[in-house]
Amino acid sequence: MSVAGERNESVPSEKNGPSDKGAGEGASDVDGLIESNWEEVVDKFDDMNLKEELLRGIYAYGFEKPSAIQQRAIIPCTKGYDVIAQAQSGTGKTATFSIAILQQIDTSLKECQALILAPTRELAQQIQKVVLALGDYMNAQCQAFIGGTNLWEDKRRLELGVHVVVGTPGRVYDIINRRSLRTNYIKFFVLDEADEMLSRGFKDQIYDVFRTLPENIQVILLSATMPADVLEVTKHFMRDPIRILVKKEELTLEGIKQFFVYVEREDWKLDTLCDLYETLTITQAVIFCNTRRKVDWLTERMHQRDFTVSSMHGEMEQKEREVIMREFRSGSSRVLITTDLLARGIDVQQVSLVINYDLPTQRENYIHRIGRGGRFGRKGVAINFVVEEDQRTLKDLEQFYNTQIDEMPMNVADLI
Amino acid sequence: MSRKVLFWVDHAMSEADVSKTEEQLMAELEAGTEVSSVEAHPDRKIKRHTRRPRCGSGGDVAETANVPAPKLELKYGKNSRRSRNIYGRGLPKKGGAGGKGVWGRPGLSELAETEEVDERDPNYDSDSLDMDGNVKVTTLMPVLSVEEFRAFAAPIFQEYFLNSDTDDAISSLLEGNIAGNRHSVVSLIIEIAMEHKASHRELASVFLAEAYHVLCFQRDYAKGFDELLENLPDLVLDTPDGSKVLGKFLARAIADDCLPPAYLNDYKGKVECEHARNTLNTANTLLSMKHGLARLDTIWGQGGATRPTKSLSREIIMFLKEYLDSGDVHEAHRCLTELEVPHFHHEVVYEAVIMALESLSESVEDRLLKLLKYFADALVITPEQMKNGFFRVYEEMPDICLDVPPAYSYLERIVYKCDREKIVLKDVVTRLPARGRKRFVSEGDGGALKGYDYVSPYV
Repeated sequence: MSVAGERNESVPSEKNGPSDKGAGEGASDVDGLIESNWEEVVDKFDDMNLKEELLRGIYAYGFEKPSAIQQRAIIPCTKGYDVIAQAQSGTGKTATFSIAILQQIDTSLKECQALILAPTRELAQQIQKVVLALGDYMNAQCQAFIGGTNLWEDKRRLELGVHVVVGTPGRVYDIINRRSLRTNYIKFFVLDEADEMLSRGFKDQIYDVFRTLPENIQVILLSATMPADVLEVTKHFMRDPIRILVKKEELTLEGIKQFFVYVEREDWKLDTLCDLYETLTITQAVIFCNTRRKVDWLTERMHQRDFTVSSMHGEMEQKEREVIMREFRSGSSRVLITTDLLARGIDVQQVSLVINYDLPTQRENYIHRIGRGGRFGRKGVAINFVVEEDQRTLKDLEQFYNTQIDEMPMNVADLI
Repeated sequence: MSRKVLFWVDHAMSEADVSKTEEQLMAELEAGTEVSSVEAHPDRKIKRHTRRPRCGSGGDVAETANVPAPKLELKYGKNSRRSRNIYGRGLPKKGGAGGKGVWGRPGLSELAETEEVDERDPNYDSDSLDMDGNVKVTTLMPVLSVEEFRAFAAPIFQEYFLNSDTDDAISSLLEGNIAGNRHSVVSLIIEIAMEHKASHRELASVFLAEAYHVLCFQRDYAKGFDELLENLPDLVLDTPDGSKVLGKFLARAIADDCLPPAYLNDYKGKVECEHARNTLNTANTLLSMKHGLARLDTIWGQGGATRPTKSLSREIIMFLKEYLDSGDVHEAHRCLTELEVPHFHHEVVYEAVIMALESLSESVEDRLLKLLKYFADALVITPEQMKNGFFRVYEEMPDICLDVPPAYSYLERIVYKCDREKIVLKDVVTRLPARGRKRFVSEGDGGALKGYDYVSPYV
């Protein structure tokens, strides 16, 4: 493998450049869970030589310490290398390329300089939010194209000057084709969740978009898995890419003590919860219900009985939710009632006690509720309320996650 | 009272003392020396008081008129152009709706009649009154515009895709005023589901079937699908196989009796858009297939996080067996992703190893290892899941051994191969269980370490 610095003159050759070893034989951590042909690891945002305004955005967004992938991938991305970052979703990939792009764009130039492709409109909107939040202090403009009938509006926004454009491959190609989007100044091409994009059938569109881009573009590809079609894309688009591979799983149930309480009937859950209240407030607890309606109902009931709880309402905007969450984090409230959807995008993972007032109807939600990522290596306790008809679901959960859920012991308070 | 005194004093211009009110006199008595300051500028004091009646209106004005006009210190003469806003002229205020020859403020007029319900009025509506004859007031929800409706309904659907509680989603929608937007329920949920996994599409289909005659009626379904067909060129940009997906939704809706089959016929030969034609063709084919209706129940596949683990295991075994026949790793990969159960991938490892052990054939074993190698390299199965799968096999070994006596030595061979191919991490190798190792020693191999290609003599 040749040194990627050949391509980009501005890259100073240094000992931290990509190693000559093949992928997978470079730096790897003790568990063999991280593989890379890039040796440098920077574990502070401060040490990454980022613009001051960008750093302010990063800290304001709530990041404190870079995640495993961010520690390794941001630097080569900002130095102009093509990068393949392979990690599970939820490990901070979006922020990785967002930071790298924001570091390098010139906000005084009112032209599109970075193009991000995503598999769905929903994801495109999320990416836009992250880029805008991180680039808040440097006044970076980012637009997500999600279609609808307001083509004219899209075009007007572009003319006002947008630095970063996000969209699905089909949508972006359509805009380029309509000549609403000039590609002359684009320096970055990001493919987020590449495997997902290809499995949704965007292969031709990705190649179409790529053909319209300038010659010496920097490509960043992110993917959770690396099947053959993704490898093919990397071969076509990328020159001597840096490869960073984080095999560690996003969420795990390891180290979490899981219990169930057999409450027999739905009506008795509330009493059980009240009995447990004192245990809950030893530290902090999150209570999950399946619907927003139930959250409201439970909050009301708890207040009636003079228990202090805070909750996320359905009508709340993201901003308000963050306020509630901040209250909860700061410790001014100790018990939080929420649903899966409302808790999304907010780290409840540092909470050491989770109660499933309702068992999740979809098994995937179970690990999202109580599992934790590498970032929060703390121990935790989860308590599931089980009624008569839930018993099978519980058994199923155990099998599905290959884990154990025991009956709650009397001394559960000692375990928290 | 005091005011009158003052006026008089003003005009008579007598002694300053008289201008003092009773209170002032009292204050004077109490604070002796203070009086002098008042006496020093009697004029100032008087002027301040004289101005006052000008602000007032009505009686006061009349009163002053009786008094012979004093030397007017007219700040603002009749023809002055300066603003007299603060002083006014004592006329009715312009915005006040009072005064002569006007109707007065609405509602205050004596002309307003008291409302009486006339039962002989042709517009009389007996339903608008309650039992006591009082007017009933009912709460009306404002009709939502399309954008407002979307903002209202989208989070409900998002939550529905997470909790799969159809009743809750329907009742949440009924809480808003969805009149005029019933067809948007259909088009919105399908539009959102198009971007989602197959299991969410299944949920959307279930929702549409449940909403029939509760939220939406036949014409709403028809209008919703019309709208989607019309928007299809735009939707296809974000979902390349959108026309096919919509075709499946359409066929399923017809199979669920939400739409009459005639819906498709009405479109026949009238569509110019290529995507829409594709959709209608797909739907038509699906419906006209033999046993088509039964097949439509599983049109979105068998995967998803709501299915019992047993049936998932069955699916996994099925695609593994299929793979052994075809040797197609990509097809196996596709089947696995279709199940949408990344946290259950340990089952694939477990089943594959068990299958290899039970086959008693090295070629089967090698083919299964090739698949595991592919999954490991592509990171479809994470090292964590790989480890879990192997550990599950280790736990089952005593049991497997009953049916497959040489299982331990086979397992050893498999694990060593996996280690060499970097399929598993070191801890899987170090925790490899062994049985009968002692026997080897007693039979005189000196406890020598076995190589990778070691084959147990007990096979």
